[in-house]
Amino acid sequence: MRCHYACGTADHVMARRQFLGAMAAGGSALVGGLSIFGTRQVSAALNKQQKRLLVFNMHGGLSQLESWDPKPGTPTGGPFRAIPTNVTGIHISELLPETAKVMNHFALVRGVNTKEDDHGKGAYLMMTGRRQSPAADYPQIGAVLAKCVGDANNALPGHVVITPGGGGGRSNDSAYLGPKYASIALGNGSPPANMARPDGLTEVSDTSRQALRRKLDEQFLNRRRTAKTDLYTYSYEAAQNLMAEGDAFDVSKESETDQARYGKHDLGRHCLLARRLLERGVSCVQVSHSNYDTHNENFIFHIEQVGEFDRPFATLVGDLADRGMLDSTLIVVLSEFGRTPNINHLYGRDHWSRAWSVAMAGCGVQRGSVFGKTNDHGTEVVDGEVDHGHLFHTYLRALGVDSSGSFDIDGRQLPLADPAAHAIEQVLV
Amino acid sequence: MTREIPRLTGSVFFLVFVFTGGLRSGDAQDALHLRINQAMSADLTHGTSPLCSDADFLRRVSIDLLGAPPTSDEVRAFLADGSADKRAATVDRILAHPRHPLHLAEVLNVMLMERRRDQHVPAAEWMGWLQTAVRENRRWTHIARDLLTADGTDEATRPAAKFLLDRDAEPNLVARDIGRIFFGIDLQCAQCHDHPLVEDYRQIDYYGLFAFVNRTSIFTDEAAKKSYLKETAEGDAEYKSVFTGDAGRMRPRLPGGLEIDEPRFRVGEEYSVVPDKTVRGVPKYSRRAKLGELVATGENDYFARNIANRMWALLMGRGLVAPIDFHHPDNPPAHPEVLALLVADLKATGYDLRHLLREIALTDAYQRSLETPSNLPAVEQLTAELSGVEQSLAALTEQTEAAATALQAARDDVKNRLDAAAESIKALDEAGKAAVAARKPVVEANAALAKAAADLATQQNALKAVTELSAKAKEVLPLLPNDAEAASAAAVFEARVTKLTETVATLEKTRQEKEAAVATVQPALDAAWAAVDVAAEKWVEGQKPILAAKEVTQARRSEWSRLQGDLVRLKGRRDRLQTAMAIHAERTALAALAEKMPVAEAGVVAAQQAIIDQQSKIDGLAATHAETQKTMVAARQAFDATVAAVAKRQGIIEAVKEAGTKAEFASAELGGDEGLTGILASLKERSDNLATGLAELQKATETAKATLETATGGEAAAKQAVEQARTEMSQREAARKAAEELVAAISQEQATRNGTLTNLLEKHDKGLGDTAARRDFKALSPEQMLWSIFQVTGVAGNYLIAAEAEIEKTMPAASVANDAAQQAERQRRVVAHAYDQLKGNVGTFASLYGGGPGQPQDDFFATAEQALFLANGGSLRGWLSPGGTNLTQRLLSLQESAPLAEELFLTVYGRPPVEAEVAEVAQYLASRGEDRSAAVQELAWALVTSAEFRFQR
Repeated sequence: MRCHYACGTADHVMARRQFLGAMAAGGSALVGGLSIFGTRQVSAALNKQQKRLLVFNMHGGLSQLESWDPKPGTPTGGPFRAIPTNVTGIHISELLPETAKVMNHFALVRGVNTKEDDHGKGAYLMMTGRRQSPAADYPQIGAVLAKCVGDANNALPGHVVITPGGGGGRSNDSAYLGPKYASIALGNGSPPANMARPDGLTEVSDTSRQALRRKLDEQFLNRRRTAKTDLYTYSYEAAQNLMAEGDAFDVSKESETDQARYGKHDLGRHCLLARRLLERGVSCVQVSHSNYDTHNENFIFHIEQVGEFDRPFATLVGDLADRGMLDSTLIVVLSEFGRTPNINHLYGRDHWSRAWSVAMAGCGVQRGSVFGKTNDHGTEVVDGEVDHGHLFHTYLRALGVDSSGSFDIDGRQLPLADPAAHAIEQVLV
Repeated sequence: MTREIPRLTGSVFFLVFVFTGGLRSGDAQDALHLRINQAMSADLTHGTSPLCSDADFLRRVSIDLLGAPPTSDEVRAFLADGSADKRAATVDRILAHPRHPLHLAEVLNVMLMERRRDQHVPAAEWMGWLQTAVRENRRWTHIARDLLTADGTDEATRPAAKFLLDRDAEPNLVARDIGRIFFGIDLQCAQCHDHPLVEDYRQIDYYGLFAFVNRTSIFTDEAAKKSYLKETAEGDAEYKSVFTGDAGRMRPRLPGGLEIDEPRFRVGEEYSVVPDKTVRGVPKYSRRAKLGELVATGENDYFARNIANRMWALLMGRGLVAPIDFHHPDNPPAHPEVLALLVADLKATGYDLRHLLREIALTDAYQRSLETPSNLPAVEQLTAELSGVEQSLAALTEQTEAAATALQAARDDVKNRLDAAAESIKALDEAGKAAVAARKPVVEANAALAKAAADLATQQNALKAVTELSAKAKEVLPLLPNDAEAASAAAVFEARVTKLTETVATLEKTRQEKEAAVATVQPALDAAWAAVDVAAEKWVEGQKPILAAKEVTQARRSEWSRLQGDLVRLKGRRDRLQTAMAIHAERTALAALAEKMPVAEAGVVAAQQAIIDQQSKIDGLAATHAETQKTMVAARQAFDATVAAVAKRQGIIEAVKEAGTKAEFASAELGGDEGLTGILASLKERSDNLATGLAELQKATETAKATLETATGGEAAAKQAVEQARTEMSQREAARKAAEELVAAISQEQATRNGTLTNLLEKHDKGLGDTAARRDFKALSPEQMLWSIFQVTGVAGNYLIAAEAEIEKTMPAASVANDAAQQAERQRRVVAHAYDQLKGNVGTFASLYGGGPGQPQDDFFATAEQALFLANGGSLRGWLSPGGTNLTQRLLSLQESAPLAEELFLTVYGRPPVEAEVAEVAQYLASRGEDRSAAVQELAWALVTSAEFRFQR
């Protein structure tokens, strides 16, 4: 019997394709076992072209002066020197010696002014590209990317956040794009829940019951099939695929050498995990590094924090470049804001959103470049001032997404990025 | 029945009504569901799917109204019931079931709070309030009023304050959500400008709602650690379009209505409780209370349409207007008459939701099956209809455009009048400010006066007391003549009296001065008040033409909305007709192609045969040609041999001749040498012989030459024959190619047309779903998913048994045996107890299957994590482990596979298995061998995780 489809949305077409693929494989799967459902080879083949985003979220507010925009020898510059990088003319803080060696992949944006010194609101606008408004909620960049460039055939979630600790599960950062694109949090890098077949359930049991479920579905859906039913039945195949990909979350599967290169501390493991996930086609990986909110002893804390960050981060940038993945992967290092040029009486720096920096690297950006400029003491942007809205457009454009487009949500046209802002053309290739 | 029946009487009346299952007394009209059926059948002329089976119906109403499917025994009983009105009777039974309020409270909770995290009002209190509201069948108008007006101070309605409190009373959020949830319009995009995509969503609509709530905020009582809502008496809803720069100030206004009149108070007189840091202010006039009051009348059409549509969507899975918070003229209801009937019913019953749900559940629309009706109307019918529609469209388009122009003119008029009245608004503002300024010295003078009066009173009291003491002291002196100390004391008192008298006099003077001071400043304030009154009067006068213009605008807006809605609907109808006609056209074309195809295919076969024939002919001719070639070669060889023989013989002859000549010369020189002469004679003889032989040889050459010429001729002829045949062959090949191309072209066209047809059928099918001519799948909500799993796995049954035992301790069944009301109460407690024991699991399912906090909750999605949860998580595995009277335990007690299959399917799917399914179960059990317990759990798991369970069918 013919099956009628109830809608013509992209999701539906996608679901139908996935479903048909799964059903086509399903015939033999009853004999050959479940692994035949895997689409991993397919996604591996697509890996090279598929665009990806890697965000380093420096919680608390990374100091631009101790990282991308040093002002040595000035009253606001603090004790650290600026060092040359492998790009003539670009100097960054001496706290980033390894990153300096891969600066040729970077486009630094030094004229960021977001006018928002509150942690929550700053984080919101940097992640969504819009100012928080009580009556509206916007999806975060990862959710937007997962929807726009995600590989629907990939068993792995499209949007993953590796947090320093805490639990896992689905977050609420996709707003109207729906839970499908919400991030899956990997608390301290732990895999998602329920990934392993429980003790006491044999493989035979599982295979038989799944086969029976498929058969029941096939019979029932002869009555009527829709995008919804396809999505639902496919979710079980997706779960099987995900279980087959369980290794993706296991950093210990990486070589000893690599584990040593990244460092076995949390951030080292998280960076290596990020590499593993990006290699497996996850569209957006966010690594959170905490905590940069250095109201006192800014310099000691930045030695520790940036010191921990530099090596695994630079190693990851180098690895992605070596593997040819940097041409399809955009790296963004951001915070909710920067830190005050003024050094307070506790040797700290406070919240500062008027003149700070965001670093981008890889896909779609002018590599080995700097855009925007702050004055000698770093207190004002004097050239190339941009805000969260411009940056958000720029991330999308760098990844080949038309940032002036809209999502069609239930017949409502919702712009991908703030229509009042635009991409920073000078940063883009 | 009037709307104003007291609640208690109302619900008693309703119960009677429910149990008799009849029509409302005094109502001569058909029941609502029958009128809906009628209205829909007039609208659905393109066929509808048949009514669903009894099993499907029972599962639908159980899940929709109780949150979980029926038990296997309930299904058996329902299927066995032969009565004609069993569906209606079941709906009434379900609506009276103690589980219904628990379920509908969950629905309302999700609708109202959208899974926001608990903040100020605990979920338990909130859910309890909703459950009571549903159980008592409180009118929606009253529920809505409480939700919008409760401030949290009255314990009875405090839970209702959750709607605002847990949104932190943030006015933009609250305004948007009131618009969406109570009026069905999502005005978010109209906050900063008129909606860019929805013509009918205006910035003034947003600010009209915003003005009701922007004076409300949270008040926290630090001591009690409790939050309430407070409201100020000032704060205007000012707006300015970021697009056009148009700006203004809105007073409260309901969607589709006009700004409401408000009382004015003099500065300082606005509050019944004046706000302070620690005091929750209460204004004499509360805009939020006004909103509640207006909503409670139930007169606003947006309000009525919204809840009618939401209840329809709750049961149907899709609103008559979809999305449910997107009512506007460009998105008209699928069946306006049906929505109008629902609205009329709500207004007639005073917003009785239970009655509305009952009637919707009894409509044919609710009971339609999933299958698409196969027959389309005939082309002639469609053509006739389409031409009618086209004509109406032309007229309607013209009318709508005229209405739009008129509306724009009215809007311009309002704008102009607003500009004209700007002065009077400014004047009123300034008069107000002047009054505030003038009031300040009066307030200060009054304070000074109050202080002077208080000081005076203190001293007056002292004087009075001392005067008394002095008098008493004087009385003592004659009695104690020698007491110097007493005399001294009396003197002191006397002196005090004198001094205090002076002080009082001074203070009295001060008081009079202060009084005079008040009198000095008071006239300025009085004048300022008077000026305010004058300005207010002018403002009111100035507002009158604006109001009149706004009234005109509103009327034209309604007219345009109506026309625009009709236009959009008519276009939709035209699209559906065109789709149906296109389906016919494609089918006709495909049928013609289907006829052409065998002919074309036969052509290919014939052409192929002709080629085969020709090939064998070519093969024969080629063989012949090869033979002639061979003959020709042999003849040429023979001829060549004869030619060679002649040449050789001629050479020999020449040699003999030369030898003869030389011998003659030698003989002549030698002169008759005998030997030579003999040789000469011999040579001569030889030469003659040789000449004779040459002639023979030459003759043979002629013969061989003739033979060769014949053979060459034969070969050429054979070759030509082959070539001719080959030419013929290439013609035949061209013919075959043409025939094959014809088949390919037909096949290609078939594929294209089939693709088109598929798309058209999908479109047609979607149209059927959108117009409720056919039912769509409806996914279970997270709550329904949880309670349905509890129901079918038997967890719910086990907990009911435990709850029964628990309630028996406090309310023994025997003690209520003779009291129906008490029995019902006891049953309610049992159900509630079991529910409360299990409700903690809702959170898990909500986080997996529900939308994010504060997001719309009606989107369906399916994720791998959900599947992993059911596949590998401990919960479902635990619920499926045999125990008590649960499903797997019951299945294990059944030895035969047929009854096992029946119990399994009745329980999980709410329908008996078909024969093939019984066989499948038997086969599954057999294939799984010894481990029957594992096999039974796998069977149950497969059914629970299948699509048939996940969706309403």
